[in-house]
Amino acid sequence: MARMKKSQNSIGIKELKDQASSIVQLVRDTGKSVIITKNNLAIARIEPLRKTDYLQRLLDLGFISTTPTQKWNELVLEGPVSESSLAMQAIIDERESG
Amino acid sequence: MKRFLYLDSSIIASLAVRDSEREKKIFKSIETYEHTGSSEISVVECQSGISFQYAKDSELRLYAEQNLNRIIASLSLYSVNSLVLGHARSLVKQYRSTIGLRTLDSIHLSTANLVQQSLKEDGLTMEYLTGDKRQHEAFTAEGFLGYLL
Repeated sequence: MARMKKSQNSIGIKELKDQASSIVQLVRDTGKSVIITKNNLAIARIEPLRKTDYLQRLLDLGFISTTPTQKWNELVLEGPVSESSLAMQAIIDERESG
Repeated sequence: MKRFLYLDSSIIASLAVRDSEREKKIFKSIETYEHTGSSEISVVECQSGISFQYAKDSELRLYAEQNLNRIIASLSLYSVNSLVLGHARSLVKQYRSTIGLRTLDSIHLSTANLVQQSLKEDGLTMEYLTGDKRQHEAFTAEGFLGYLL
């Protein structure tokens, strides 16, 4: 186990080198990030991936180009309702002919 | 469990023109999912559908285009990139002669497949909603759960 007190959130780069696995495990277990220092200056941070980071991961992987800027329950559609969706059929027809 | 919903452009276009038969059903379905997305290509397909439906009515076309912009703002848009197109090609190879997978369907299916693979690590699943029977068959062939409206 890393020799890092629970209250401590920074560790020197030499300690990181010696105890990398333990420190990553600690970050994972506690859910808290750890700052890496060199000559007493903060230079990097190790932080846990949270479940809610899945969108960020999809962004990082390049799968998502744009994220939502409004919620579905705030969405207001305007104009009269339509009796038929020729638009939908046009899309399907275009696929058929493609 | 958190679930992702993949919206086909047929559904988005149907919402944009306020299809009376489907609007409520689509909203009801969407609200049960945590996250909703579609391919970037859907924006182009939807514009094509709207322009077809309202070719002779610029006022209604404008309403539908504004609705489309609002719907798009409520979605994640999935990139059409070389990875998606490469996987789409392999899907066409696999399914063109068996279930008649079409080009645009392969891009939607490829997109959903790649996102789904990434979500598996978090124990998340993706389902789909479409108004296109043949696309429904293609998604089903790839093992997705989803609905044809």
